[in-house]
Amino acid sequence: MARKKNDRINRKRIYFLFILLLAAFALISYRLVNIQYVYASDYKSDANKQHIDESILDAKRGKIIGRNGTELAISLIERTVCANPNFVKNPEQEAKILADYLEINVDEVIEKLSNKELGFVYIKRKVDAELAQKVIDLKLDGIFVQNESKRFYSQDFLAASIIGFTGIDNYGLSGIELEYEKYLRGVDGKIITDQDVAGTAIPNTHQQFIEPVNGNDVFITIDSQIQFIAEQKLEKAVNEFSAKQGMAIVMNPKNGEIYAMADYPNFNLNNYEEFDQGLYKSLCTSFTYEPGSTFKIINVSAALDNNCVSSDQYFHLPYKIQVGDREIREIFRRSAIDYTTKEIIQHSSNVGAVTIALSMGEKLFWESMKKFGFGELTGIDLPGEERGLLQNYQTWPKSTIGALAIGQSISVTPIQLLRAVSAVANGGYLVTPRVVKEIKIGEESITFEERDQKVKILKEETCNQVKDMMLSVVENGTGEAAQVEGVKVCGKTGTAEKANKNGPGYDEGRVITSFIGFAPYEDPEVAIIVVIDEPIGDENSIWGGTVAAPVFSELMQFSLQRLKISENYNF
Amino acid sequence: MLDYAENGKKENKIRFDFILFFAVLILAGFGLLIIYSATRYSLPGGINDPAYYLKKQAYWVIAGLALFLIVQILSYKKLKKYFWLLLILNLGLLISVLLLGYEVHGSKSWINLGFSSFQPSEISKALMVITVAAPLSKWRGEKENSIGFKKVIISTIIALSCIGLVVMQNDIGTALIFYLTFMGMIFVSGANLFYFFSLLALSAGGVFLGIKLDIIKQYQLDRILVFLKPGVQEGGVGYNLYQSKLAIGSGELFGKGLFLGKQTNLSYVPEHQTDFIFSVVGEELGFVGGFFVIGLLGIIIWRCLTIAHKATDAFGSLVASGIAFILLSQVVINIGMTIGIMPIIGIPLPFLSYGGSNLVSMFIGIAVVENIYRNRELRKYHEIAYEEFD
Repeated sequence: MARKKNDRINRKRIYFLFILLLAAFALISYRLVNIQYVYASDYKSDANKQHIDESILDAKRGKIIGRNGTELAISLIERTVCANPNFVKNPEQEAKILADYLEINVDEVIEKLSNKELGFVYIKRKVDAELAQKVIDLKLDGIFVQNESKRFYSQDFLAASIIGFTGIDNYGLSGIELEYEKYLRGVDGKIITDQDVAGTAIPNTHQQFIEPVNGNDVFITIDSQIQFIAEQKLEKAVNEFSAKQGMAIVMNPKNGEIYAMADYPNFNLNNYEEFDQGLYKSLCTSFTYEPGSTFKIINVSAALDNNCVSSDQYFHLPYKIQVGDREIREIFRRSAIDYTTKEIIQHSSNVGAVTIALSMGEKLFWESMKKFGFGELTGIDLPGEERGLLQNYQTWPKSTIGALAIGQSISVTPIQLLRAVSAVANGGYLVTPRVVKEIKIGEESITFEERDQKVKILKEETCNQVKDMMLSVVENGTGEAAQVEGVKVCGKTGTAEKANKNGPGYDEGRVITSFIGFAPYEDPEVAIIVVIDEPIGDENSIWGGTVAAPVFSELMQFSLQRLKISENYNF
Repeated sequence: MLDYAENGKKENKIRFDFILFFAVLILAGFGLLIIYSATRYSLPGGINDPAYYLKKQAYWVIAGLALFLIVQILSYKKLKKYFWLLLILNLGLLISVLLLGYEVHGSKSWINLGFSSFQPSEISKALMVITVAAPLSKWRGEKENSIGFKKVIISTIIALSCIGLVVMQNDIGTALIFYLTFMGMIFVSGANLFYFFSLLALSAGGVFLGIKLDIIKQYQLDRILVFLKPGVQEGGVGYNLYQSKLAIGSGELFGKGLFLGKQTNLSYVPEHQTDFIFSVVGEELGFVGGFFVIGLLGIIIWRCLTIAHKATDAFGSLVASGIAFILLSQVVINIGMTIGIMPIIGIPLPFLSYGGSNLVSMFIGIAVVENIYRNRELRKYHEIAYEEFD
């Protein structure tokens, strides 16, 4: 009895340990409730965030298809066979199979698959679709196939500034690619999977799989053959005359559809980075210049339409005329002459044009030019269009009306001028130019009918009178070089001196030559403008009739043939 | 009046603590499940069997149970008698690891036995409890167990040599468990509290001196104290804590389901089958699962303390409370570190963490405690009453 009692410890201190035990477990439980109940949602969302791997599945971008069915811009799916070595269980065995299928070096593949430090290695890029599917069907551990969408432009340089290009991420950066981005792009899909601490997506852990919606195909009005000829002829003319640049537009004057819209110099869409950024924008919609004599058509149309003059009214024209502080002269003529309105256009008389403009007065002339759409955007469906410059008549100095009569003191874009002249061709309607015909969305198609609305700006009679005048320009006037065998062509030359770079006035040497017109005379189906900027050569041989008119003629002939309009005519 | 104990007669009641035994068994079984869940995807290189760790741990559980039974053959009193043999064995193990061991995570605490690696300091935990308890209990020839200066000094020297050898392995975590257990035993032994507080003051002084003399490095302190800076999330120990809290917190009340813990399966929580096994429980089985584990561990410690209380000699009481202390300090520090209330030091969670040495050591400890319960001498009611008023 005593022995036991003497060999005892202090039991009260054990009670203290029970209390310690309770306190410790109470503390831990309290803390657990805190973490797992009170703040659980915070921890949960933080944890989920780091587990989730979101991979984007690229939507296939729509095609850009030309009038004649040429696929001008397409998206290629490039298939790349990749591997995550961490999941490869037997590198040697898998490497042998892969090397066999993909016809690559076995040892290299073994090396790649054995490198467990990497979560991702390329095995082979640009793999044929069928072969890629076979590799997928093999179901090898850690081997997968990635699809990368890459834009490809089948015609390289053709209509480069119109079609435009996309950036690395497949977003449109210019041209139709940019303007119609929302249709072309489609909607990217995504796969949400788990990822481990190394950031590797875990196979078969799809929480969400959203199929990509492919982009829509865009059908454009550009005819690749006419476009090709336009670019070819332009290139030839620019080089022949050592010109700075050239542009040409071929349009349907009745509805504004653009058959061709060419710039030279141009660039290759498939490696646009290697070209000057200045080339990316279409000159036809963004180059502003003083139109010169081609503008006389506008002047005369306005005067006729407002009954200020009549078609066969005679004017007594001295060889020069004083307007405000400026004297406007004829180019060749050095004596007075009597011309009808028609002859003023036919011989491109400066004094005559000024006389006609003065008959309208500043306000009416200005209002007429506004009706033709100058100083405004044409609304063409391309990015980067310029509106040109037309000052309000209230701010005009006295000389301005004279300058405007011969196409100075106003800046226009080629597309603005062609659209205005098309009104003469189509019986007086101002159309909205366009490069996209329709967009196919599955079975349905979008056709942008709002662009079909036309504004009547000229009387039918006026148009017929001006057409006659323009016909005479080509038949036996300044534009004889624009003739096309077997077809009656209407046109007008233009040669404008360029404004002085270093101050007011005009630079003697530098000119812009142009030719604008349409055919066939009876029912115009094609309207064309050709502009050659700064051709170099003998002063007397460099003008609209010699530089631009031949290009116009060749382009008109081809376009009429190509569009089968010429079948009704005898070439 | 009959004195059962004096007459050496057995009590009719069951003399085996089934609660303790089954709590241990359930916990170890539960541990196997959690280890399987935690390791299916994180296997060592070249191994394809998802049950690799599960099988190895299962063998250790069987080995632990076998040792448990073997320990029941003899009375724990023999341990007191031959404690010096155990002391030599213990010191021998700790010295041999310094000579033959290899390093894992900066601590040189492992010996390769060929078929498996083995961590002597884990076994040493149980041995130290016995070798410290012996000199603190009644010596031969003593009339009664009076704990004086001599006994305190001897036990302190034994404990210090163990702690010192573990520190030399650079295993600060285990050394801390040794220290806490020793202090607990001094406290329970009934020694004058003057000794207890003197030792406390001396150890505080020792730590202070260690920092001053640059024996304890600043980075070690930073590592230990990182749990006090909740902002630290990335890199090193702070990252472990952050991921562990995300795991446990995202488990919420009922967990994500067994085998569905992403924090674990996707390897965000490091050391998830060993030091951070509680994070796996918390994530997959939520607060309910965590409470189940804490509850079982609580029951085990409560039984150990009860047996310490019921033991009829100081040696038995001290060994049982020493084992209880090892368990308590490991549980509090291990679970505490996964939830950010304790420093992050690499010590396992008893019966749950993967690792044979710790499991076997804990089985032996519990076996000894069970032995103490089975071999206690029954006291008469009046005697108990007498003692209560003593």
